[in-house]
Amino acid sequence: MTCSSGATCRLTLPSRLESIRDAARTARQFLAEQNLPEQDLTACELALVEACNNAVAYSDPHKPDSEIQIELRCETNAIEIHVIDHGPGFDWPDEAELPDESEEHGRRLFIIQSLMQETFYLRGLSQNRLVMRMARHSDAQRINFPDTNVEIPGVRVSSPAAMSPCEESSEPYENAAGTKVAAGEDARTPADEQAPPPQLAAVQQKLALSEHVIGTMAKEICFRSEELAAIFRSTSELGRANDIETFSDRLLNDLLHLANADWFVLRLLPKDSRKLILSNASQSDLALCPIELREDHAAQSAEAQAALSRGNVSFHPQRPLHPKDALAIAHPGSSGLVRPILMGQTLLGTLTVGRQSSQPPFSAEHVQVVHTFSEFLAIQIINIRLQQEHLDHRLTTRELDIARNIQQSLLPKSFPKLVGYGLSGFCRNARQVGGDFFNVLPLSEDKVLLVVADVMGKGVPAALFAATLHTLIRTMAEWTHRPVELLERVNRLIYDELSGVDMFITAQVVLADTRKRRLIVANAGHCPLLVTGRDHTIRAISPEGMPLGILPDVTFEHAVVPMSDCTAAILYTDGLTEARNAHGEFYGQERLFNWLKQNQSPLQTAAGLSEGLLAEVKSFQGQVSLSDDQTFLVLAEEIQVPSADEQFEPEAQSIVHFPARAASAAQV
Amino acid sequence: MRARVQSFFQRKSAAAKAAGKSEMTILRDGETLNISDIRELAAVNGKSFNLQLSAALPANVRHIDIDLSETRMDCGGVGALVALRKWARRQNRDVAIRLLNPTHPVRRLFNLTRMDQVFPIEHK
Repeated sequence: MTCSSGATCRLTLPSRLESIRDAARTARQFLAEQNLPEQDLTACELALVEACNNAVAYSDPHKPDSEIQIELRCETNAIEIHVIDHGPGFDWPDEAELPDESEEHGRRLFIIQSLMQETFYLRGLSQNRLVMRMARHSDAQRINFPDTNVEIPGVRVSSPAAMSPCEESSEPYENAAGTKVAAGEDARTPADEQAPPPQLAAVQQKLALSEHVIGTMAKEICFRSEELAAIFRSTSELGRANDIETFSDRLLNDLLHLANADWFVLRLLPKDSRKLILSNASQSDLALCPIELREDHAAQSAEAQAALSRGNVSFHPQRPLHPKDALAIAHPGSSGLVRPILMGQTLLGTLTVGRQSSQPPFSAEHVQVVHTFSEFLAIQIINIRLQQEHLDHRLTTRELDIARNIQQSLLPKSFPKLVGYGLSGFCRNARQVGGDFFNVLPLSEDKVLLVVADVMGKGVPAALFAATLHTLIRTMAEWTHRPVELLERVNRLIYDELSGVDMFITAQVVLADTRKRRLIVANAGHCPLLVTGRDHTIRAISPEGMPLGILPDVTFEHAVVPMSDCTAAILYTDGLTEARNAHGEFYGQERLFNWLKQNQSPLQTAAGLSEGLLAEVKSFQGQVSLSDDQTFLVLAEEIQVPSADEQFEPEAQSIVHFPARAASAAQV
Repeated sequence: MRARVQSFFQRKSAAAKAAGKSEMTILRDGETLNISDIRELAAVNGKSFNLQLSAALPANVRHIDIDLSETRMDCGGVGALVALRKWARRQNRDVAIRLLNPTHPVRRLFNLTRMDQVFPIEHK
């Protein structure tokens, strides 16, 4: 151990735990001489001990003779402690956290950060420097130390950012008493008498130092420029590569060259998965099974260990991989490093880079380049994933557009003629596709079947069942015109499919018979049929009936409404009455009743009623977006026989009305 | 005054150093094991501290009193105490570890690492 006393103290100690106590004692003694209060002395000593323990823990096992340097600097109002080691280094956390109380390790960095006001960790090619700063507690305890300090001119360090990796080249030498002191200090011995004069020696030292600085800088610049060139090459590749495998191939082969490595294995963690899947490997025929990320796998798999701990795992002949580790089987006796690929705390995969057993393990600079490349890889993985997600989204949107067109095509394009009555329908989906639909099936010249249905839920699943139900009702209408029987048959046919996915459908079927002047109504758990009477009353007709898909065999009730008593009938889904305004209020059945009362008239056509009702609901909702599909179908008495030439243009938001608007206007 | 009924393990510093072991005195007093004269409990000797204690811990000990009045400690020492607590509880679920008379720096270390909430600390 060497020490130079004064305002700055430098210590050099072997990178072994046994040496730390003596170094800490010397450091404490030096700081005490600077009149530091006891509280600060304790803090500095503990932080220094923990920093040295850490340096030893992360030292290179292949360099047993490596050393740790300590620098203690007493400034007028602050203490600065530098701990320099020559190991591969580690990732310094912005804010270290305490481990669980049952953990035996993992408190050092937390202690250092708690005791010191500022900490920096500078990871270099050949050394790492931990800088710890603490304000001195009392102005009265400041001292004025002389300007002449014991450091070599030209390498005095005033801030961590200005530190050069080579400033430690001022090698200490041993004096006659056997105590090492930093070069430049007045410690001349008889052995020095044949040495060159002090001025010449200082110039020689300065020259040697400059040469060393330039050499190291040139080496670092060459290394970094190669690293950057590889990254630029890969960036230009990115636009052309649509998959991670193609892209990583180029990047990782560059990495092998730069890090002087022999092989790599890239595993990726698919989204929402707990298994690391082989994505790419330098050995093209390598087949590796997926690794499930479980704690009990970590002991046997360095990749799982790195992924779970979010930290590097290194391996070499002295610390070999588990014999059952897939990497050990594929590359026996290798040394290398497993690096988790992270974006923030999100794990994207692992990158393993290795060397054959005949070569030395990775140096600090090679570990650093693996870090840089894995960070770059993480960015590109995210980019490619986002591109893929964007493409998937566009495909899904396109498919949904097609589905929407198909669903719209299922709505009637025109309504059948029904003497003395007009028909109008409206269907609007909350999403691109939905579970509501209506249909009007002509049975004869004086009979039509009116159908409104609402499949539970929204979106694609509901739309699929709506399409199925649409087809089933059309088919069943060939066999029976009785609404009750039709619903019973449809329920039996669709029960298995609906109950299998815990879904159900509410539906209303109305047979309008103008010859017998009656409406026959059946209801499968649906909203009631609203009938406006000639006496200006509104009636809700809701015969008993369970939704479709609840039970395999159900019976339905029916109700008969004389058409002579009513001027209009409205079938609708709950999306109409459950429309909300900006205050979160439902439109509700009461508002619907009131509106119908105010707007019913013998002169009102089906189209007029539809348009009025739609305007009323839209006015209530304001700018609030639709939360559920909305559908209604209006049958209204009309005096004039219409012409049925008008065709329905399918749109997501359309009123299908018959007779044509021109005819309606003529009536009004 | 309680009589120390058995002193079954006592090593002084020279012998301990020679054997590469931690320096401490271990005395048995009934169901209590008293450990004192610990110069250092740190990363450098945490493992040997635990090895010595685990070898010396009889089955029927219910209390372990560790005197830290002369002890320098770091996080390695905290880890050693955590390991000792785990090991002792595996041997005897009811065993209680008390820390006696810690110095101010050691007390500060325990406060920082919140280990003062895990180990009862007493001043005698």
